[in-house]
Amino acid sequence: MLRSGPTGARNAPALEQINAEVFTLTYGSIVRQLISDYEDIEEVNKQLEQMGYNMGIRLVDEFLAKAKISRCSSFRDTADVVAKQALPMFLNVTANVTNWSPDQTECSLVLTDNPLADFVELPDEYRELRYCNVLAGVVRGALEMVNMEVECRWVSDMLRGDDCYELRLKLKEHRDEKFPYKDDD
Amino acid sequence: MFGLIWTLGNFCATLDPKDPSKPQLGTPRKIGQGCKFRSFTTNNYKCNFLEVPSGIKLVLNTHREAPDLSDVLQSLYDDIFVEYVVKNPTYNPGQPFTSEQFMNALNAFLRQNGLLQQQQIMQAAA
Repeated sequence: MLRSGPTGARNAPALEQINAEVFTLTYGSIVRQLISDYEDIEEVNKQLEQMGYNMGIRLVDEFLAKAKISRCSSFRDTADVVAKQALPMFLNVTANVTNWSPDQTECSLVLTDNPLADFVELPDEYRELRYCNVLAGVVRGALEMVNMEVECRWVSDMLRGDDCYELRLKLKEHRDEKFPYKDDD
Repeated sequence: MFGLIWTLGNFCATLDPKDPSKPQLGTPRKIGQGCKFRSFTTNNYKCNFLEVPSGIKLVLNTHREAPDLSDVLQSLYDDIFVEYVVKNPTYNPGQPFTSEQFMNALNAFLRQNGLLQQQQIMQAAA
């Protein structure tokens, strides 16, 4: 298809960078503060996920602006984009998408390293803490803004002794766009 | 205005001559499914439109002789909407917003592109 005008490809706006260690240490102190505020580990997990959700609903617009991808046609494409473009852009890690369920609605994102949890050791009394829950919230929030309702949970966590970080993504619903105004207004 | 854009979008997706699985007119559509429309021109004005995968729609009404403004709208979204609105902590996605920085950046950008002779009306609807 011919395009009018001499514009051609525009440069993507430059992404601001932050020192990875500053990021890791800031996240660690957030988690520490949450634990001392709430004292109940389940509540901390929920708060981390909620924080991630709030971030995700805004982050998706920034991702769409910087990455310039067109519409993903299926959940499979979406998972690939998240793993191969979004995660490297924001966290500088690549994830692999594995373990697809037979009906293509569930998959696993496997990360071999996670900048959020560098230098972290989880003591025994916090075994129930899902340290990286904020990432699950971000993915859920971001996909919700493109009308895909997903459920994200961590199934493997290196901080608890497993050999990789595995995030299970389950597509609950791919919603159609709703007409937001009532007919009788 | 939303109804107009909504219906036009549905109509375009249904009319797509290349898509093997196009939706029927009137059935609900996912965001971005099927082909989209970019602009329409009437006697008095030209309406340019861009829809982003996250559902944000940008509408820019210009004079009739304006060229294809898809790139302008795309860079409007990238550089101005994302910078000044999405990154604003008081912005709730899906809610109306007012931001003076956004308006200033918008006016400066449009003026730079030679599009601002009188005040243009710009609406962003999610």
